[in-house]
Amino acid sequence: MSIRVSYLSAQTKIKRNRLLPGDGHVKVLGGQQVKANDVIAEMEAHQKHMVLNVRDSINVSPSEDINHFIHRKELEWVDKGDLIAEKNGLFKRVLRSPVKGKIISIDNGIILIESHSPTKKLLAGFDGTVVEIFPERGAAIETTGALLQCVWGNNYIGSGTLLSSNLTSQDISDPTDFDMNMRGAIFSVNIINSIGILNTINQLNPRGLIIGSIPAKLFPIIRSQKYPIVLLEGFGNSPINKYALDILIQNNNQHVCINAQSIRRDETIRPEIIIPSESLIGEEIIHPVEFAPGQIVRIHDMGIEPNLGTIEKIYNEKIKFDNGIFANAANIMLESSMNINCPLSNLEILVR
Amino acid sequence: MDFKTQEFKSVVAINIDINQVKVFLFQIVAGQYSLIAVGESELYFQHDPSFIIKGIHSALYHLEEITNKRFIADDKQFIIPSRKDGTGADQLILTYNGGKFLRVAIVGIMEDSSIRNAEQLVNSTYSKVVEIIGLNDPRNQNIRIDSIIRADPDIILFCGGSDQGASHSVLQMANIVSLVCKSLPFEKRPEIIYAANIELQEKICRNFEKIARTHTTKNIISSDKNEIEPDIRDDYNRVINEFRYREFSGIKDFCSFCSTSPMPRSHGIANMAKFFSHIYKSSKEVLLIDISSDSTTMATAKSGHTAAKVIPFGTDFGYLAEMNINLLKKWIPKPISNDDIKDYLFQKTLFTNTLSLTENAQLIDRGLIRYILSTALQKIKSSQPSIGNSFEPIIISGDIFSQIPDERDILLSVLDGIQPEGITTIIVDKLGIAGTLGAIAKANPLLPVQIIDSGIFTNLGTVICPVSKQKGGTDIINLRIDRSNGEQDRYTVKKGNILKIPLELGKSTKLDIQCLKDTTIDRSKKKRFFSIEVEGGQHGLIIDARSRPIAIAEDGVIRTNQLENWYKAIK
Repeated sequence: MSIRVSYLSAQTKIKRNRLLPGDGHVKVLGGQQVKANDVIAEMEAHQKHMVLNVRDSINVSPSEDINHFIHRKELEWVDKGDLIAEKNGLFKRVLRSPVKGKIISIDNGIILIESHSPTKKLLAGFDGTVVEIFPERGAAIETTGALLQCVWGNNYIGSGTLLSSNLTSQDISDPTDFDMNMRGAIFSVNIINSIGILNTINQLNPRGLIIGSIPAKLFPIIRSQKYPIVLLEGFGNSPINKYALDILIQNNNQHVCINAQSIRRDETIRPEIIIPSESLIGEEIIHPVEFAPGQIVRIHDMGIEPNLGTIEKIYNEKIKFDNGIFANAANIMLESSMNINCPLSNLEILVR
Repeated sequence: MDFKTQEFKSVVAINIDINQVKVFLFQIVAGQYSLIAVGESELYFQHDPSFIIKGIHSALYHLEEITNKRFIADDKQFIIPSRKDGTGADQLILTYNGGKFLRVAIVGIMEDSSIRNAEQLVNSTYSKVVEIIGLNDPRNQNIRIDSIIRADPDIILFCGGSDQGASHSVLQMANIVSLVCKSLPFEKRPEIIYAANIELQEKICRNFEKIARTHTTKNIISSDKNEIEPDIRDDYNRVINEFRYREFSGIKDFCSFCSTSPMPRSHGIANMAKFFSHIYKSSKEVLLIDISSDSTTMATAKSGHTAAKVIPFGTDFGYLAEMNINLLKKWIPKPISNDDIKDYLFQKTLFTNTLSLTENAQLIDRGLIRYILSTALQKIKSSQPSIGNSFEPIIISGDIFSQIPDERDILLSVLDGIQPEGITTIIVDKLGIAGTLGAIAKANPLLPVQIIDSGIFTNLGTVICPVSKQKGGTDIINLRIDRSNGEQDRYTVKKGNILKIPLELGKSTKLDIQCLKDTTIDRSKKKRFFSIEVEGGQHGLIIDARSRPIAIAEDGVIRTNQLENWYKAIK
């Protein structure tokens, strides 16, 4: 049975493939050290196209061979103003390229030009070593350190010094928690429930923001920020879970990388926080393939806070819940030492 | 094939949903097909592209556990046909639901014929129109080309031009398709489906095939404006299936054992709607709605003609972009703040397929079902304005309904969300099997008939929804019921109320109806006195005399009382 898993590990080996959506140019070499914001590959973004009708432009009659008048070839680059076609005679007629670009096709006097456009850049996402090159697509990057997988990100990448000393004080952050000495850091907060706190943080020129949860009403404004922001718990008022909290607090003032890439349902890419360490010790985490007793789980949609527990047993058959629903379930020991039954579909394994 | 002899003793049908794989086993028992068992497996998207085939195996293994029969051989192949030792099955059917909606650009000639038909085809399954270029498009050629490229389509559906019609327009539009494809690297080029002028097919497709992967089908312009030809639909499905095979490894090999080409569940739903229209033979449309995690399919059918539309939102995805929270909140009989509702809905999109076990979560989910039903109905009406408010029957399908233990909740959800008028029957498919039966019908027409006869769908009850201009609280209908023991019961229904009348389950009962002033039950007939026979469902006969649209109080306390009173009336 397939299961939902999140990794919250203090020290592990991390390897990620960073790939362009299409063919481009890889800018790094195997063995190269990269930083989170380094460009490792790039490709041309959406191009504009121009269609030129040579026959109409230089007045070539249908009986004449149009190719005789065209001076360019397919895949040739042209600058704006370059001669494309000409017809000599009493009145010379010329056709010049209206843009700088590449001639994609020449077909029966119809010329398609793709104009030069800005490139789309692929960043490394975290500090590490290039261990594999995928020609024209990207590279695999590896490091060891702490890994925290998040549930939402705003699609920016950044790195900086982590500030997490404030996390122990209270769940909901207050503007007085922050001062000018913190400028340029990556901030971590349990809950942001007002725009005022975000405005205070923004005045400190943050390089990133790690949040436990936000109320959904703040989603539009959080999403519109131009630096990496990730949520560890989601929407509502849940503080950062204790396993992620411990890792963040242990790494206060350390260099941290945030790849706040959006979750895509069809690719299982997750937003992630990576804290590279100098230690080379770290094993790749083995992905669990089924629920089993002893696993630490996060429990969703049961109104329990904190929503962490440990699987005590998995029931062999579906059990009936108070509202009359039958479901595959597990018995969970909560942190309060209380036991509850929980549908397997509401569980998420936390791998440490 | 002689279906009367029931050559296929056992049939396995697999449905792949975004969160789950379900496997149904049908066998002949006492001369009739019966549903024997259902196997399941949860699905979460993983990096491993073979996770779907693993999910299928997992669900089949679950079925093996339940039935003590083998369906998968040691080499992981499906065992077909069934063997003398009882292993395997004689037919294998596969349907799928949701997943990534393929992006389709339509390049055609005329908006009111070929392009409209093409849109209907694309919207009838898990694909969406991302650009339309017609002959009369005011944009110049450069912008048209850029627009198609920017839309990043997976498929270009090329349509239009009647078979004996002029060729110039068709060739002109084909040239645009060629230029689009040539401007992209080969591996990024969309695939082309040619559904246009048959006489030009060879010439144009010869050029298309040099630049992109090309498929052909019949001219879509020949389709009825309300229904796409089955052959065109099947050809389109085959192209969609190829995309799925490439995305998920192992599926193509598995599907080689299938008795028919895998079918999107939405088309199975459309087939079932058509089937019901033959059974009910009413002057009204059949309405069949299937709600899943990330999409809602609505199909209507009358006299064998059917139309289906897939709307890309369901119980876990797609609704946030355009949701008006107040349209959902008005159905919640408890003061839950907009912020709490939004937090719950946003969190659902991160952790899908969870069961709602808190009271607030269940109430929000009930409101969400009503919102989905009413929004989906509005969307299908906007593309098919001829659809009215009267249906017979209304069938609702989807796993979400298996999570609502009290059927009366389901009944009220349908009445609140659809707000039908006139007389209708409400039927629920809690197993979410309707689409599967519709897909099986192609390879085994007898099986769905016998399964439906076996009572797999639940008849919740007959509902009478009068429409009246009278004020709330005014008497609008008098009813007289002739019981089987000879007694007569009389009822008077007031505007704004719901009345539940017990009837014998499965038995036909005569009902005499008198519509009072400014009240009608059947808008087309406007009769004041008439008699009908109604069959008793699980919850008898319901008279829903609420206004249309249903007026819900703004004030929280009054609204709560209103909703609770209606709920108690159904109970």
